[in-house]
Amino acid sequence: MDKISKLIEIDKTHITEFPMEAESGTKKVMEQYHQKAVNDRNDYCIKQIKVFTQYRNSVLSIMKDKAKALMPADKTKDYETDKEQVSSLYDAVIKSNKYLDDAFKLGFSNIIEKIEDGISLNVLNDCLKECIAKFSAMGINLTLEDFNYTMFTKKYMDEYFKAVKTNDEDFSNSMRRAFDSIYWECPNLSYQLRLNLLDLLDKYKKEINAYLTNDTTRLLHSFECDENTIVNKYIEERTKLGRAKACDPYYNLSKFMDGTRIIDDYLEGSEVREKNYNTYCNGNYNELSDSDKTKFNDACRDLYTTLVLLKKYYRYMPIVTDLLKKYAEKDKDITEAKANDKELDTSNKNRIKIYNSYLKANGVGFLAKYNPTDIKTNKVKINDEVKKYSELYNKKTAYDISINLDKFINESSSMYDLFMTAASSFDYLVKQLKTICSKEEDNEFDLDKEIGLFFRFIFNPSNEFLRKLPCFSQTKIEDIISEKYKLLGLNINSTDISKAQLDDTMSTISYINVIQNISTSDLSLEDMNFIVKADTIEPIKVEEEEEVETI
Amino acid sequence: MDKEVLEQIKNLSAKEILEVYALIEEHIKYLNESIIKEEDGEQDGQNQ
Repeated sequence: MDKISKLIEIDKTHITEFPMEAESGTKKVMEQYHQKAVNDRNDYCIKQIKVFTQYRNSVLSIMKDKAKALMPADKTKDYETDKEQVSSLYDAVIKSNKYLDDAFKLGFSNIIEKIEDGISLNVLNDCLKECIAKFSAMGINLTLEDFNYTMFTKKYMDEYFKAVKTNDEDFSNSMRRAFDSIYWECPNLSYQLRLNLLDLLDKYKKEINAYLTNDTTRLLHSFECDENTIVNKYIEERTKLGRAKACDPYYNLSKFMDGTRIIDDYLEGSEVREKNYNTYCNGNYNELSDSDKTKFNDACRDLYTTLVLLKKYYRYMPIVTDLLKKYAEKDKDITEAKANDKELDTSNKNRIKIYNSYLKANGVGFLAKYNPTDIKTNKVKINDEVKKYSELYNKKTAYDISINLDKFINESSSMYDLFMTAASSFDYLVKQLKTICSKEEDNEFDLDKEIGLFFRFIFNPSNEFLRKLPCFSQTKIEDIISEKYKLLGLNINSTDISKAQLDDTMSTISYINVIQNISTSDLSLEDMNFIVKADTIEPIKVEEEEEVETI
Repeated sequence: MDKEVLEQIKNLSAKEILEVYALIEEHIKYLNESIIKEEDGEQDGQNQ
């Protein structure tokens, strides 16, 4: 380094002290002298540029080799095993949860929810296939007789089972023809198939429950947990994995290398770093003692995970508002639900009666006689009855949430209890999530994704404030959270974490956490800076390969 | 560049290598800025 500095010094002296003017002579002589001096000086500069460009390229080559040696290993595949473990734990948490019904726990709800009038035949057939496979996995082999909800569902499934049995290469077209042949008599075929599947869940509820109980016991046993301890185990493993990934040097380096984060903003001495550290610090961060710095950093780490959850809480707040309103009106709904259930039962029995009458009109059964007029009449009647049933069923799902509020919520219940109650009625939850998505820009509703997000929110490792905050409390959640972190030494107030300002606050706290995470890893921020810089610089071609003065 | 100098640079820390690089870059910039641009055409004509 000394040698390079010395050469640079020689160069600079030579250039600044280069005689540019003749001491004496005619104007012409002086002009000629000056021009030659300019040319000579420029030639010198150009020659030295080539020399130093070669030095630059040599140093760059060293940089690239060193960067390669410093490069951390990509542990993405290693995390996959841990991810699967967390996923299995999540499965156990869901299956052992007292609020959730069996259909949801086994994945039926997500599939059946997709079946509605107007969906594509491919989606319908895939949903049917998935449901039949799930029943089969439980030892329940569905046959055509299970699909006699109406004559239309039976006709469609007759073609379906035939096509599956013969391994029909032209499956899609066969089912298209079956659908088309039924459609004009029954435009609501998809919805009727949905009701048929729901009916099967009721028909086989004992077997389903027995299967689920065994499966849950097996899962809990494999983790050496019971239904009370499994949630903590899940939270523990999820936290561990999250922390490992956040501190992973390859992950953090890649964020700098792909431009998501600007490394210069994170280096010591940068204005951004100074500003971010001091925003929520009482005083100047650099003047804190080491132990106070640790406390500050720990509080920031804790705050960030809480704010991630708070952001999701704000998103799901309409559910809280709606449920509190419903809680106030639940008694009326419960009364109406009882009457509705009776009507549902009657409607269901009517449907069965109409279907049996249809069979008789087809000549099936004792003393049955073929009657084409009755066949047509029963087809119309059954469609009307199913339509009536579906209206009553929709009312039932609306009443269900009130019934569950009555069952699970009281004056001392927490926000967590309230959100779990929302989850206890799949139809209610889906409706709420659809409404939330509809108010967000560029957010097309994706059922599986939204359900997954909701449950990850409820079972978030930082859900302490959800579990402790009473759902009927008048205190604002941002006041409670900001007070906690004030006590932990942060200069933060409730406005900083209001819905309007939360993103900015999270960005600042996240910044601090990134630096802390990197500080705990094997690769320092300085080394990351080196790798990023080595990666972005390219060698410059030296046009003429000359003998150059070397150091 | 002399092999000995290269070896010395290789043994520097990442931060120090970056400093060497920055030093060289800065000097190349200085050399480029030191190049005097051609004087205007009238003067050139006169010189000829």
